[in-house]
Amino acid sequence: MSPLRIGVLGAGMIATGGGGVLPNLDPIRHKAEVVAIADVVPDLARTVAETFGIPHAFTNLGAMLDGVELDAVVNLTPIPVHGATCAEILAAGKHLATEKPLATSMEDADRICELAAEHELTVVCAPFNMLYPDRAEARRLVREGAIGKVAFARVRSSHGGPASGAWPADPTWFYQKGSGPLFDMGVYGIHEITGILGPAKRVVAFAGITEPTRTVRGGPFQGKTIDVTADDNVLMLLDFGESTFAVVDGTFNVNAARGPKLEIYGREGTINLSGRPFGGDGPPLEIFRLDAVGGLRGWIAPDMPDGDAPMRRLVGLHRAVLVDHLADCVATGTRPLLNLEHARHVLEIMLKADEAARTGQAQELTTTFSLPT
Amino acid sequence: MTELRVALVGLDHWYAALPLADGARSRAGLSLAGVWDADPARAAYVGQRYDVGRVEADWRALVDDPGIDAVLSFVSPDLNPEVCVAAAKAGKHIIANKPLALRSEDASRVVEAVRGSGVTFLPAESRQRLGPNAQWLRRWLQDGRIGQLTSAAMTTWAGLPAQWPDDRTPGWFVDPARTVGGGWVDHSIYQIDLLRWLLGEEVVAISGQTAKHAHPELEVEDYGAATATFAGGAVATLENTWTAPDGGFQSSYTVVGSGGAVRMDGIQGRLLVSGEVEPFSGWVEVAPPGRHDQAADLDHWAAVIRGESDPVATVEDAWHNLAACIAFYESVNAGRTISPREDPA
Repeated sequence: MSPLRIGVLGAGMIATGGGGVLPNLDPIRHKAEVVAIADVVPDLARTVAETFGIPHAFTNLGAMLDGVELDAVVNLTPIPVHGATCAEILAAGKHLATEKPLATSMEDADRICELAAEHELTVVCAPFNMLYPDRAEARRLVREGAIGKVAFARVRSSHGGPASGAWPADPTWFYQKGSGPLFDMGVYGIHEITGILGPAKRVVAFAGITEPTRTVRGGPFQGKTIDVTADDNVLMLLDFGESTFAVVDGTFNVNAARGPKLEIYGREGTINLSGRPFGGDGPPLEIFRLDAVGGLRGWIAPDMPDGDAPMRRLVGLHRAVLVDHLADCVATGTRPLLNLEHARHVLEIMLKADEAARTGQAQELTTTFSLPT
Repeated sequence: MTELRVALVGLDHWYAALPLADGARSRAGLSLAGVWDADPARAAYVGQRYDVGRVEADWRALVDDPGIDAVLSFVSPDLNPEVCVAAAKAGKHIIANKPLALRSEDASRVVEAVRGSGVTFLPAESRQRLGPNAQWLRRWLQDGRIGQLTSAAMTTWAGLPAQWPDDRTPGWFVDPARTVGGGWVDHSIYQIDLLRWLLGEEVVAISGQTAKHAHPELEVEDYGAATATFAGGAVATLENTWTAPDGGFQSSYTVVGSGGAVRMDGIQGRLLVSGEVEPFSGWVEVAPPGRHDQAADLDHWAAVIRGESDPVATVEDAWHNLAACIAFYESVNAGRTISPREDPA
């Protein structure tokens, strides 16, 4: 089978950085071939195309869609234009892999779902945490009742913010209204806890600006003072119904943590995800059971299915995972694990968390999703 | 209930003697009625610390006193048999330091004196059997959780013992005229006792080697590693040292059976088991059963004396534990496997 012909939209850091898409495509060249790149910044697409040997470069999405034969587009644009560009890609009949979040309004998200259904297109949306074997195993264990009825979960979803380290570009925009850690980081935790437990029914949140300014601690913009206009400290509480809850953070204040990445507490036990290899110690997944062995309570560190190899492969692909998953789903006709309805549900939670924080009222969620088993 | 009046004879192994003295003073049904030590200053210290009115200059005064019911003998192994024999002949119940003696012949004299005397004898190294961890491990094995015990690897890394709380020099612990050996026997005797108890079998062959890795100036070893074979074929490796730096103490074991294993990680205090853990596989970390309250061993001892409980160990255990240790040192000297003596008689 010939490789999926890919157009890359956006030639910034997520496209070209060490952990980005273009430098990490080598292991999947047989599945996906980048034939074009587009960016609205003058000359940027052309420069990146020369660096990565991409045949065609364009200065906007429309020109790329019109100017070259593509099977799919990978959307690596800034958050505010995700909605419009995703819709345009689907309207042009192209499969889509998009960075998170799917959009910034439910209207855009609904439109994207309609277009995908209408044109029978495959859409894959970041984050991709549910592809990780430990998350998948946690989902399987919960569904099999290995820890009994789930009471609640704690999800750590954040880091210290791009200004707390040596960010390679100006991190100011992360801290401005319309961006912020809810969309940038909270999206991971919401994605994975809903991936594991299923759709949530309500959300309530607190949000605020921790301090009015941040000083960049390293990198080329070290010392720059940023005026913070976005809420950079958000805590969400999700209600899954039947007294099952989860707390998720979306904040730029987790400079370090020793707690687990994700812990789920059930009536019969606990599941702990350490977060390895992205920080965290110990086995990637441990399960505590009140009846672990011979009537004794205890912790078990089950082997991951197929060992470490699947995780190593995913980690090695960095953000090219999205392209890999899209190519697999298109080639086999299977429904994505990183699917559109899930991404829309995650977006609704983020938008309604913002609303809940503003109004002080828990917000009902109207979307739902299912994942392939 | 008649109070059991206990005399403390010797403070050489103060690590055990002091907690037991405290227990004899404070636990119901017991009283600490007298103390003796070769060093009058140490005896006076204990007399004052534990509020013992009677501090004797001669241990025989305590052992021969009809008003004393029981003796805690914590003199060094060279003197231990003499105290134990005298105590048994005087009808005193005994908890005795480990090892029981320097030679099997001396240990046999203690066995002979205790047998038929009606006194209860609890070896110091067997007290561990009463602790929650050992009790749990034995029950785990008896319930067949790991099948038939086939092998064990046990290790203790310790620093040099101190001859007194405020005197870090090792004293009698490193004097070959007063004890059986050095860093190996200091802890191996516990492991041998534990495995004999778990298996219900004697050591039939032992070999190994010793070294002076950290303390070449000593007359005894600071490192020893043994391979011991039990009557049913189980094999244990026992590595014990005095080479640990300050704060480096750790005592760990792995016990392997035909259907599983138990691992105690003494550094992190983690207890892990493997076996039938369906639907998972691998190790399960379970909560360690709990801390061993040494003074509580006296309750068992007192219950045995009152005829309310069967003894967890006997003088014969002390004899066999010593016999295995002596065989180890014979093996080191001879460069071949040695079978321990089989019987005290």
